[in-house]
Amino acid sequence: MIELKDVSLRYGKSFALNQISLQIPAKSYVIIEGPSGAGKSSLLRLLASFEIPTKGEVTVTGKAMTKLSRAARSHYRRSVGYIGNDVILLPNLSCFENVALPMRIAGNSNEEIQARVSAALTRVGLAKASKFLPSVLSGGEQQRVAIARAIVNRPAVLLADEPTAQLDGLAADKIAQLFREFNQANVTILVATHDAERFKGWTHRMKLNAGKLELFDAKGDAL
Amino acid sequence: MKKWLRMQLFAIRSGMKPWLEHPVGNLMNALVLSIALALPWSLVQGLSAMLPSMDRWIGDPEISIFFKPKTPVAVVEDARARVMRERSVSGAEIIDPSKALSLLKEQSQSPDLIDALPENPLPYTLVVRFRLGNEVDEDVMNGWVSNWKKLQGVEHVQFDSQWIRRLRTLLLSLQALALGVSGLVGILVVIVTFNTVRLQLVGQRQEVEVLKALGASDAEVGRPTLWWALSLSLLAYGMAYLGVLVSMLAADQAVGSYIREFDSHFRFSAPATIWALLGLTAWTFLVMLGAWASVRRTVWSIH
Repeated sequence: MIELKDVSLRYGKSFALNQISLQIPAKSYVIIEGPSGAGKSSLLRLLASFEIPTKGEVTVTGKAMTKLSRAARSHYRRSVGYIGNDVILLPNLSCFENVALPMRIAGNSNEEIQARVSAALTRVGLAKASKFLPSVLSGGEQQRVAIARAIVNRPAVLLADEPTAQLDGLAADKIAQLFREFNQANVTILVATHDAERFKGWTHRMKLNAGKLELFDAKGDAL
Repeated sequence: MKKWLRMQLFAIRSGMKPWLEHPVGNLMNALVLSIALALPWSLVQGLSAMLPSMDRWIGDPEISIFFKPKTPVAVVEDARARVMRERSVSGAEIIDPSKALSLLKEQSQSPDLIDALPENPLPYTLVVRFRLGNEVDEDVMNGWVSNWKKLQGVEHVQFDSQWIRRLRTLLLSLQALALGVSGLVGILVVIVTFNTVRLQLVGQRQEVEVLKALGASDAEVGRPTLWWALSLSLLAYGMAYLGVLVSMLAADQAVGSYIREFDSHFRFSAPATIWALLGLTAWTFLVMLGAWASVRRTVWSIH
């Protein structure tokens, strides 16, 4: 369950989010739409605990973000997969080591890392690229490596900020398909996008405009 | 426990990567630190070797009272009696002119010249010794010197080890200066390490951001850098120790044999193990202090 109560986020004098309240049930698949600057990325960064709300309360999987210490917020991030609109893979590490990073941070054993990283790379269709450096992969493949990295710790919530923005149609379709599969495996997914039609099977659709929010279910009814 | 060890091993492996990626730059960093440490350390070490030697040269303090030529022995004996009244005086030996001349002949490289003299030019001498340690109050000694100059028949009074005492005082001042410089080097090391670590972290900004986004805490992000700083401090200390060792060997070869003509115990030697270990502890503490402060400040500021 994700819950926001009267949440505002302000950068300087302007509000990125303005008194937003919402409840998203676990295992939902939420598409977030809105023009540039509407607050989509801010909402996802808030849920990933990269930001602290200026006002209000954010609760994700039972954890109230504003009450967590700085170290506890870092630990919380291990339970949330985040995919940014810029793919940031470490250029001097192989794809395998990039995907393994969250598990190394968490202190998992080599056996666990070997098994789960291989499974994650297989899931995104890049098992054969595990030894490659990111620089030899295409943009779509790099995005899939970033997705493998986001799911390797088996997060309950996956947050994706315009994950197909830089990709061609085929690569974007593959990624949209992956998200659908993850949701079918009971992962709660929130995707911010300008290309909502590509993502099939969503359960909720959220429209953000100038920091204000409207939420609809799959039938198009306002919630 | 296993998990903690795995996290430390990951941090150590990550911390050693800069050595492989930029070996020359990192070696230069270590070299700068080692030179900053080795210079005052060599000075302190060299002076520490010389000061005990000075103490041995000084020995028991002596004052020599030289009488005018042809002063009668009775006058000399009367002066001896007066000198012996001082409670600090342990003994006063009269050296007659003939004995003084034969001593001079023994020490001279041209005894024939002395034989050629028409008459013995040397006067009676009274050598006064004291019941004092090496820490002689120079004012007291100078007081005696000026009093004994007034004795009948006295030509000149000399405080024999005065020049060594002055040299010793100079060396002590130099040692204090070197210790002061060491203190400044300590501050310099903290500042240099702080800045080096800051630049390294800023250079790895992308990596820091990724690690934080993936759930690494500030402490976990900074841990590899602290391991790197530890390796840097150990290497720099090792290089500095080697530098001091080589400089002591070189100094011993250059001037040690000359000094040993006066003091057979003299050696420019390597720092004692206990002092080297204490130095290593203090040095590592300073480097790690600079690194820790920098990691804390820089990692915190990178979002």
